Amino acid sequence: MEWASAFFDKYGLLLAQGSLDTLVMVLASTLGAYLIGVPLGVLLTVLAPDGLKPNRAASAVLGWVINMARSIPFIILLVFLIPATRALVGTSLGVQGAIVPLVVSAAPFVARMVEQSLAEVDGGLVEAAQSMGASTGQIVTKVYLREGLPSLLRGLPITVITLLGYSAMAGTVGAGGLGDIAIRYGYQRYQNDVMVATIVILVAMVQLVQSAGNLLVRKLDRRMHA
Amino acid sequence: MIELNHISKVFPTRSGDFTALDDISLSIESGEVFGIIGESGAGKSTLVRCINLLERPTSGSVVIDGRDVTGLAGRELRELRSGIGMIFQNISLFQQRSVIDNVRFPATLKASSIGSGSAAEQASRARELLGVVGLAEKADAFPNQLSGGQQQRVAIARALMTSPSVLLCDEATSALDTLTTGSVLDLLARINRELGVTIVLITHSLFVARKVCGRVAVMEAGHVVEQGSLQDVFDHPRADVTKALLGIETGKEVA
Repeated sequence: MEWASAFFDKYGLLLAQGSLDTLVMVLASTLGAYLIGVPLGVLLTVLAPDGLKPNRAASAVLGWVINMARSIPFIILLVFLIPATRALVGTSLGVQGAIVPLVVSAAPFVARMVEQSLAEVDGGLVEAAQSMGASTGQIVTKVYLREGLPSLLRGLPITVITLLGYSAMAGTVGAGGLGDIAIRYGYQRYQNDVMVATIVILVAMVQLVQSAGNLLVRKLDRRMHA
Repeated sequence: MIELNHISKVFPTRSGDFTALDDISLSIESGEVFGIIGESGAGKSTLVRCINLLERPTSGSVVIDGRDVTGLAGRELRELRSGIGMIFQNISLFQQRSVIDNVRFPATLKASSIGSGSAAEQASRARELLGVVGLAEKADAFPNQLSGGQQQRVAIARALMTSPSVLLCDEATSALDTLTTGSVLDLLARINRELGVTIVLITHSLFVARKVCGRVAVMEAGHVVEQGSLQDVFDHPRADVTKALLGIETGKEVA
């Protein structure tokens, strides 16, 4: 116990700050990734050959851009985007600097997940809405997004947890957060205790995110109330 | 009155063009229950989808109450569709919405000024319609809490929300058991009688056609092979497919 209290006296503040930085990075980039990814996923669905407004060329270009972005490993994207990040937020360092590459890497991932979720929506519902005189916009908001909500929500913890992993990588290029601490103390100074502490915190975060996600789906999916 | 004039529908496929509908002309009188009978693949669903333009005919015209609607698009098309109710074999209720919200749904689209109204007006009309289909007490349930027959009744109430003059039924009872089918058909007949809604009903079942249809058309491979009053067609079948269907029904061999 004495050991533990000494450890916390020494590193408690550092780990708390790191956890907070990680949380801010992950939550802000999740928000950004969904703000960009959801409209892209909707577009992929609507423009697909069997979609509401099929457009072969637009859908091919969009798919190609998304695949491109997804095929760049995050650690390389991180470095590649440094000039763009500087131009956008003024710095490529710290929490702020990490959010840009995190959003850029997660948005296409979210777009594909949204596309997947919307594909699960029964085509019969879309046709029924069309037969009632629904416009394309109404079908997107009132049918696709509404009926696909449980599936979309199941994708949310997957995105958050993926971003949690990426945020640790961002730590290696000066983003701060738990990944940064793990690298600086665990890797560069051989302080395994600090690294283990960051791992424990990350594991707890992942569990918490997944449980919260499951709870949200249970609360909001009306099919489960039977 | 719904007039289908020389309707053809050709689907391009990898192995060449497929003609789903070949020069079909039909007229359906206001207030009748018109049946379109045929085996699966005969083109019944494609034909009925031409009426509300879910399917665009390759050639020919759709005339409703004297107005050619074939070329309608955008706002005008949505308005037309909101005046034509439709129910489906796979029912297609919104799983994430309560029964009453499903019934209200068409009015919330504001596709036409008719039947839209305020939220309170919509809710009271939806409750009234749930009463008509005998499910007033299920207003706050969710679709997966209902049986198949109850779900189709909700779908019927939903289709009536905008007070349509026509109700299209695409194999609406094919997924239901016999007793449930009977009660849903009774409901459709009552809607036709009491609300004066024209019903166009697609079915492969002669039992269904016999129970509610006034006139019928028999389809085979994209053609209407015969049409007339239910009595005429069933008592004096001329087309081979009609004879075959009737033969299967009675278990008699047809020469």
